Amino acid sequence: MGILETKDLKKYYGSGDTTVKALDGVNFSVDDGEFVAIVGTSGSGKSTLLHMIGGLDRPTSGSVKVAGKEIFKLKDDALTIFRRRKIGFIFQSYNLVPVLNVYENIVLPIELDGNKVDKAHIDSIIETLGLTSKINSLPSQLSGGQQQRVAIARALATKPAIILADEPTGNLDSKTSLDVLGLIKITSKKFSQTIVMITHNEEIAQMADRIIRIEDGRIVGDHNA
Amino acid sequence: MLNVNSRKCIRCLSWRTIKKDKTRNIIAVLAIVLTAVMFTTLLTIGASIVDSFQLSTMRQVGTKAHGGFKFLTQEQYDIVKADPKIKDISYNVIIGFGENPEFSKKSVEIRYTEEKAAEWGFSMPTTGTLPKDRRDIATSTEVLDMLGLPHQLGVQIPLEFTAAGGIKYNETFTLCGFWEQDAVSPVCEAFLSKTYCDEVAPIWHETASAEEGNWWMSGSINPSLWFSSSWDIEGQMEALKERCGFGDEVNEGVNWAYASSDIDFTTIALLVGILALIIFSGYMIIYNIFYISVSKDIRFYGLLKTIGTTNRQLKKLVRRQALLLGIIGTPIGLILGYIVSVFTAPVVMSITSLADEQVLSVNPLIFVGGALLTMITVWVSCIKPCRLVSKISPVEAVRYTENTSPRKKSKKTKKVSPFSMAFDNIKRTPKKTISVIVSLSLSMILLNGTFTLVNSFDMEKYIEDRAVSDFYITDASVINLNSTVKIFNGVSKELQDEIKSLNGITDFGSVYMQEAQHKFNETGVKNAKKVYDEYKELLPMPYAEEQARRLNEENLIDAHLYGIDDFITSRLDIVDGEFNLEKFNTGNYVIASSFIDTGEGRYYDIGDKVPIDFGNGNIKEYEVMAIGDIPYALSPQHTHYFDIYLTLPADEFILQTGETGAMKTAFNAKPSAIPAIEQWIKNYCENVDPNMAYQSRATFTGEFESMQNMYLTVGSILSFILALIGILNFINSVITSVQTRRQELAVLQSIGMTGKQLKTMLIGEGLWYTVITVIVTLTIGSIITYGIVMGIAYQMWFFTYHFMITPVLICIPALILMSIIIPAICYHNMSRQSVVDRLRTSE
Repeated sequence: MGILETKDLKKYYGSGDTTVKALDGVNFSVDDGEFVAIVGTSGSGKSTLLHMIGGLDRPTSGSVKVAGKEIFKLKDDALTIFRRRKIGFIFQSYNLVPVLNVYENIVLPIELDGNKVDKAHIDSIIETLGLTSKINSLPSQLSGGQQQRVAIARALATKPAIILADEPTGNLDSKTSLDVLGLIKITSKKFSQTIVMITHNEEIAQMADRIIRIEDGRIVGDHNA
Repeated sequence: MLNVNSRKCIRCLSWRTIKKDKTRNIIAVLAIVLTAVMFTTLLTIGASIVDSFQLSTMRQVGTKAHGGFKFLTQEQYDIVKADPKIKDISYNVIIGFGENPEFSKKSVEIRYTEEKAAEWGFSMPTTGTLPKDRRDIATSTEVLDMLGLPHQLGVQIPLEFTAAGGIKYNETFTLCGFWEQDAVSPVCEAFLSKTYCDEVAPIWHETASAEEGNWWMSGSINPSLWFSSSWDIEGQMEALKERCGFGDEVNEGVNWAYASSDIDFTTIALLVGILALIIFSGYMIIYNIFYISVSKDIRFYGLLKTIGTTNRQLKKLVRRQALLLGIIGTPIGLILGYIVSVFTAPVVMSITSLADEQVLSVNPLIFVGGALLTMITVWVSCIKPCRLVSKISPVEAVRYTENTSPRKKSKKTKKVSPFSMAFDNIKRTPKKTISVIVSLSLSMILLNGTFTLVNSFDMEKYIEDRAVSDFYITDASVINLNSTVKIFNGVSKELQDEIKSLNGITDFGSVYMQEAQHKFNETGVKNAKKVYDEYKELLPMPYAEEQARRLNEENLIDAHLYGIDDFITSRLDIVDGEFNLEKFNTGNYVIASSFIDTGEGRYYDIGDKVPIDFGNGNIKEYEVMAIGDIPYALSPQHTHYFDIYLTLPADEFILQTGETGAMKTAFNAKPSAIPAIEQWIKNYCENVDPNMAYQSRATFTGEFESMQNMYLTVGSILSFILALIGILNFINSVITSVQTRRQELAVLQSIGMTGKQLKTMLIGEGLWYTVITVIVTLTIGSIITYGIVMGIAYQMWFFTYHFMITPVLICIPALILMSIIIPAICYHNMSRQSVVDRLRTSE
């Protein structure tokens, strides 16, 4: 039973002659605890796919099931709540809230949900990611790699069913990239997290358990690394 | 769904977000302060007018209390007093009426009073106390004046009166307290001690009958009482009477000061209009500030949404920021607003309010209302920015730039210049541009409207209507709105002759007048009933019913009989028919008025025979020569509804009535003689006979100017505040547009635009705002001005519309200066950072 399943997922932009088929019938599933990389060139539809899986955008047709739930059957606010409970995001541009410090950024999704923070869990994440000395810093005071680590911590904080990473190392130099990726992999094992990562970088993709290739909105390859 | 924890989180987020944007906060708080200032000022002035009116009504009624009973026995009083729904009660006991011959001018009521009742009745001694010893008396200064006694405690006061049992007393009392007599009150009070009262007028245990003599009410209790609210006092009084088990034999009274809804429709419409204007202008800027701020931070909100902030939480986040700024700005605005009203309210009230009393209201509802209206404006202003936040999809948010929806798919290529680029730039954000232009235009339109209105007041027309002659003299009671007893024959024959003999008098004539009941003949009744049916909606209800009853049962109507000298005939307002002086002076003709000034609603038509009863046995029939009336300035100048005015030649009037004292005497003088005559008449009215009053062209000129000043003051203050709001809106838009386009502007510079060109472009954007604002003000604004000015002035007879744009033209240089300076400052602030730095920052 997959934790993530897409069925005939389609996303078209525009109409008539100018129709752009960003996704054109995508079917795949991810098992619990897997670390999957989705690889494709610029414009292949991989970002659109990630947005769909994460419930950030609605598809033209098809369905996405996360942890057994058809997410597009949910209303907007319900989907948002589902997202903050079940899906963690890591973005290329970190997307930290500039007015909140590191700790506040990490626990924000939990507090938005109105839940009590699991202090031990958060501390463990912070320690694993080496952020202990930075918890009171504001994002603007951190380096790119540090900011991305905060984003990873934030994604892990809610113990989501799945973490989606969109070019998580796109803004980082190659050494930091490998560090960050290593951390993603370690934390995913340590906290047994399912991770779906998008990248155009073959080298980075090789670090995943499984690689799905996408071209012109269709899956063209799916194999274990 | 939101629990405590998440609320705390939103609170923390909104607080942090607020702190981030200081410029926006200052501008938003200023805008909110200005909005609150306008609300508070408007409400204070409104409430002050109502309060002043209420107080002056109370003084005429003679008490502040909600209501009261008359002529109760001790037992009845005890029942009322025990009623649980009464908040407070106090009473006085009638002893009798002063019968000293000196009291012919005003009647003096002699009573025992409790302290509270005296206080509520505006009769609390300001010097000394209420009576304590048996032979003490407390009374008003007017009683002392009538008796020719000094205002001094301890003076002996002789008092003649009849008390219970019809026994006459003539005794002397010692003054233990006095107060300034209220000129408005129609009677004077004299208070005696309880001991003395018990001796001569023991409190009733049984109701006496009026047939026993005019002393019958001696010993009756007159309570004044308060309910817990002033809402529907009439109903509360009815209910109280029923609970007490009183029947028709008990007289109750309610204080109609509390029932006054005497503010007319135009005033309400004007108030609502100004209120709407304030809300609108407040909305325009607060909305714009938040719309800009939200679109600037849209990526931030999108990000929050991505990581799981719901729409509800996002809206709350925006709203909380607005409310927080509102909480800071509102109290400041309320205080400043009240200070502004301290200065403006008297100016407005001196013209608009009929009340002679001016009180500045301190009703707490002003502040509650002002705060509420301000917060509502803030709340409403947030609706659209909130919708923007909640509608944005997280994916789009990341890509969002200000111009999300270009309407045009393509654009014709034309020559690029900083100015054409500037125009394209302000078109990119139409909502913002419109808001700024509307904000700026509002103040200009209002300013222009104010000056158009004031400039269109026609002094010639005003004075011509108010003053048909250089001077007129009359008994002061005729033109004093507060006097209840009007003396219509105050200008004696001797005084008239004296004036006639003054040097330099060119024209001279008097208006004689008598109030009467006119009995209609058959034609008259038929016409009058038709008039009544047609216009009864215009009459106040209880009055109208009484008029109808008298018309139907007795064929009677209220009437003024006028007698006019030849000089006045030349000033008659004839609306139909031919006036022939020679024929008129035969004494067989009459000028009859109609219900409506323009001649509709006639009781008699030309040629009808009108029998006039002079009330002294003389009855004579006259033929209607024309339909018309004497000019308003020479009439008694009080409002009448359903009545007829019949004008005869002065000689005929005097012959029939025997009355030789005139109501008003009007006269003109040679210009060279006017100052001397003004001096003479001023002296006469102040020193020789203070009961007389006069008005001259000069008084009306002053009246006219103070009215102009009132409109100018109010209009200018309002325009000034609106202008501040407009300028704030402009500043905010320019600053934020430069901030959000930092990178874009840096790109322009990097590809070869010089700093000077860039600055020109930014100034160009500012100038475009000015140009469009001026165009809007002159086109749409002129139409709106015309509508508003006509709306306010349509009922002013002294009004001639004059088109005017000078205020706008005068404002243009200031606008241009502003639209050059502000973008220039923004440019300089920005250019302190290098192009490379700005290119890199992708906020």
